[in-house]
Amino acid sequence: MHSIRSNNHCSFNLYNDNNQILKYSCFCGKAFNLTELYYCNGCQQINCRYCITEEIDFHYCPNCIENLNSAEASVNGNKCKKCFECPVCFNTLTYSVIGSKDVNTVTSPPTAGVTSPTTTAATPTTGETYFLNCGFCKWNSLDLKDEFKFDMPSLKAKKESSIQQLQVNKSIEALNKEAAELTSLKDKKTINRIKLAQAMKHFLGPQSKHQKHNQRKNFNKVEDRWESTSMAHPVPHNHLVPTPPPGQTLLSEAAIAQRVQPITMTEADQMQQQRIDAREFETLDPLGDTVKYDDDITPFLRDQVTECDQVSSLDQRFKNIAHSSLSTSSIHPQRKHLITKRSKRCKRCDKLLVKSEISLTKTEFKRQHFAFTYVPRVQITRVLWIDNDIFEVFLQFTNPLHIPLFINFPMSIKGSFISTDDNSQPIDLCEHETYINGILDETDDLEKESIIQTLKQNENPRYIIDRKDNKLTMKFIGKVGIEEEQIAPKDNNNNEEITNLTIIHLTESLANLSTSTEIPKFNSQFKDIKFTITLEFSTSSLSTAPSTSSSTTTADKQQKTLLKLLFDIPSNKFENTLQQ
Amino acid sequence: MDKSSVVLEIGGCFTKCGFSPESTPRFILPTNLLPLSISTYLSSGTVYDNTNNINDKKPTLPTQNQLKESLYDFIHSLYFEYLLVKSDERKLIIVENLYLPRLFRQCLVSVLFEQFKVPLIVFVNPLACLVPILKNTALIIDCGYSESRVYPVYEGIGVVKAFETISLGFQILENQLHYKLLKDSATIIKDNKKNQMIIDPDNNLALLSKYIGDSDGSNSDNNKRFKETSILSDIIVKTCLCTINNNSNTNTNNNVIYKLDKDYSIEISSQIRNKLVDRLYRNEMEQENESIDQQRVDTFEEGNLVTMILDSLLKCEHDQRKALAHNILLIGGTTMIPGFKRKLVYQLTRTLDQDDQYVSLKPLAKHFNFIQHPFQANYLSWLGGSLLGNVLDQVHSKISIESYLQQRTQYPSRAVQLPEIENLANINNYTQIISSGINPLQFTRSAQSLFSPYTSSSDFSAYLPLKSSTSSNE
Repeated sequence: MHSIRSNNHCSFNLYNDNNQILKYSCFCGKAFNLTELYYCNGCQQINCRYCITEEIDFHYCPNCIENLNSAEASVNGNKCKKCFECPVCFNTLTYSVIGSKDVNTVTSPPTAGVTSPTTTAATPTTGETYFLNCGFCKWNSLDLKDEFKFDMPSLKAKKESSIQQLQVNKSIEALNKEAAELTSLKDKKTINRIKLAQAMKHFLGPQSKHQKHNQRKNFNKVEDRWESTSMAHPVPHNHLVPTPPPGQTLLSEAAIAQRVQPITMTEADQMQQQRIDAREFETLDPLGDTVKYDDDITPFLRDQVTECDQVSSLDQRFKNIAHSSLSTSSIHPQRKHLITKRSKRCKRCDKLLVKSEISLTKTEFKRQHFAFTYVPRVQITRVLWIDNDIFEVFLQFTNPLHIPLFINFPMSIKGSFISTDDNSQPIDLCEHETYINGILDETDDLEKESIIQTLKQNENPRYIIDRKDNKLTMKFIGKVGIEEEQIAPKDNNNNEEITNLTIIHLTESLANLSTSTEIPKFNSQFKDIKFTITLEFSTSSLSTAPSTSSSTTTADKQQKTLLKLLFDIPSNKFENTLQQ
Repeated sequence: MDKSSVVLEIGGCFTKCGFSPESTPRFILPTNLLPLSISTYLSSGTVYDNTNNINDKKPTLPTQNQLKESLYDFIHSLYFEYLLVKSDERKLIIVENLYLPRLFRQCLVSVLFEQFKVPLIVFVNPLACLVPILKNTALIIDCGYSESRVYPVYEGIGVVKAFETISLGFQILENQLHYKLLKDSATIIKDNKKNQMIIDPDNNLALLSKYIGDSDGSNSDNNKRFKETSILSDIIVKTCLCTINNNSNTNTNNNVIYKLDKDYSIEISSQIRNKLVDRLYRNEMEQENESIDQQRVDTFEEGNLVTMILDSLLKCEHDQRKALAHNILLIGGTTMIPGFKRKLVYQLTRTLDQDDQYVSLKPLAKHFNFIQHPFQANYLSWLGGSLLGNVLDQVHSKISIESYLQQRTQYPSRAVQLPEIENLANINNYTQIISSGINPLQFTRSAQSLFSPYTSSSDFSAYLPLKSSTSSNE
């Protein structure tokens, strides 16, 4: 599989160019900066943000840090009960008392347990009323007068009686009836009958006996429910249909006894005319001054506005969708929206990666498997050209753990050594397993100690530059251009072939160029040098016999993690790029 | 008891989301699919970078992976930052544009099912906006961000042949404002600290382009452009009016100061305030007259908002026209610019007077009227979806996670068949309907259903597979 460099997501990585240089590939092939990744202990792999599932643990208010479970939160519409947001600048509002001479500012909201201002504001017995005040833009709720009240029930009641809600209720009722009807109508026959009844509605009186009782009921409901708009209202009287005497229906015996008059030509003409009249719509004068549209330009907008801040912006309108207002002076404060604490799980094995403490005052985590604290951190300490299109990279590996980490550069892996967009590849790197000391460097494990000792003896000074505390500096040599056979075919992602890395040992003189004082300058073919280094790491030794170079097959497969480091180094970061 | 469903309408500029059957969406937030900026793609399926030169205007269609990643981020933020509910517990109702690109739908559905494990997705088309106002006849005019559309619906049946679209919308207004501010040297910048006007054309231009981007917008990435357009749209929202060209009105001076940041303000002239919206009603003459420079930043649409509406009415049957004209329903955020209704009627009447092309529509001149309703135009189709959430059993265009996964495992390489608006054969309980002896087409037509005005059109019988037509004959 080819790894792809993905855009970092966190804003602190987004605008820092240095955080784009080195990316760690997730198991799924997307590569991000190390700080955005997680490390799953269960499957010993890196998880990117597309490879985790999240769930909401609980909701809380970012201002008063009050904890709510999801049921409580949804009752309150995911809003805090106490805290308000400024309608103009969205800052948190503070409560102040009206009446006392020096306006007593109460930090919002008062601590739980003390009588909350939400109740005191509603009860006039205390004699004190609170108003809301914005410390940032100096907005306060006094200008709104009685329109605005603190307590939740009053807002709710207001909403239910609004015109919108009434219309919505009406529509819901109509819809429910329609749905019930559609489910109850089992056969085509009934539908046809109702259809016929609708077509005949002008001729049949409401008491017609041609319909069964229950169908008639249904039909009448349909009648009332729809505001028929393609027909003019009221439907004009058709004098060809005899008006039944009061108290009688059209098809009652008495009405039939009256007999219908034979139709004459003039009457036929009249009938025609009436049919036309029935389609006649009232003419309007849509542009006249008498016609008012609900979105007409008010004098306020036309003449009185001198500064744009007097008109509310879209953000301000969207905060209170039901009661939005065009003018900033009459918008209402809204309750603060809650935020959540979430736990994250590995998508592959469902193990918890991140879980926060339930207590909101604690900032640490119950469980935190960030890749930053599990995966060797890599820094580029030096990068330079040593010949045309051949470069040398010095990498410093830092072990974040307390125990030593063993690392190895595999010579053959499933999948590809090359990532998408790569224009270079490493050609000369350490083939032997090596180790990085832990932070404390106190190993009780004798077995590990002995392995480390043997590794240390076999260490090649050509690649291992420096070893200090929990840091290890290594040298790699890479070249621009990619050997074709190293690229795994892209199309068969499912059955990945094993690809091998070819190692070319350069001559000592070339490899030691970096130590010389005078470094010649070289041209760079590309603006950015992109290449991939693949490594394995584990807390226990990767191979029981460190002398054998190809350790991939013998090592304990459960324990090691394959990690791809995707480099993207701008050529001007090289020490000796010829400036053009 | 079922938990209330989530209703989502992804628009070109703003996404509305909330819970069914509430009367207003909980949130209206920018459709942020960064790093992609695909609002045009969302409405018509093509992507043109408007800010670039004509010569290198090339359609850049997003790939499936790009779409999925952006959609994942966006939907993730919807569920975890705004709605704050578990995605696998609630059904989802999507109010979608009729002409939504297929690729986008596929990606959206795949992200929702595979990443968020939504139990059921219901597709509702924007004509659902008729549901909350309980009408079944309307001329729906949808003025969105990058496109405007007309859908006539007569007695619950969509007049498909008369559906019209035009690439005019809020985006055009933004481009126009951008052009006007940069090209008109008359733009006045005020220094807030010294409280004085800066009169220096060259300096002004550089200053201004810092805030609203320079003329070709080439050296700004998507993130920055997002900010620049938001300043432009804020200016339009706060200052622009739809005034009618009466002589008395044009003389009034209602210039407005717009504060860019704490250092600088600009003065928006009454010329811009009153005339900017005229761009939507520009006729061909004006289009030809404008400078090459301006044509560069323009899209080339034919006609304007009024001709689109009149064209659509022309295609309707004679009997339908007057009823439709009496029931104009405006939806979409662009129609909320103050004075829009009066301006629209004025322009309609004027065009009927002047343009010979529409002579057969002339009697309609005094018959334009709007449907009165207490809601706001920008979320009306969302509201329709929200109300339909109450009667999900009757809505047939839906797909559940089980059937999705089943299709996925059976034919892993094939795109999953989604309920298409124009094809009822895909509805999930199709067999059930057939066995009960009701042809789905007739079913919707006879019962005068509002669940899918579009599908109930007789025009679509030709598109139905043979299977269904034979079964209805039996």
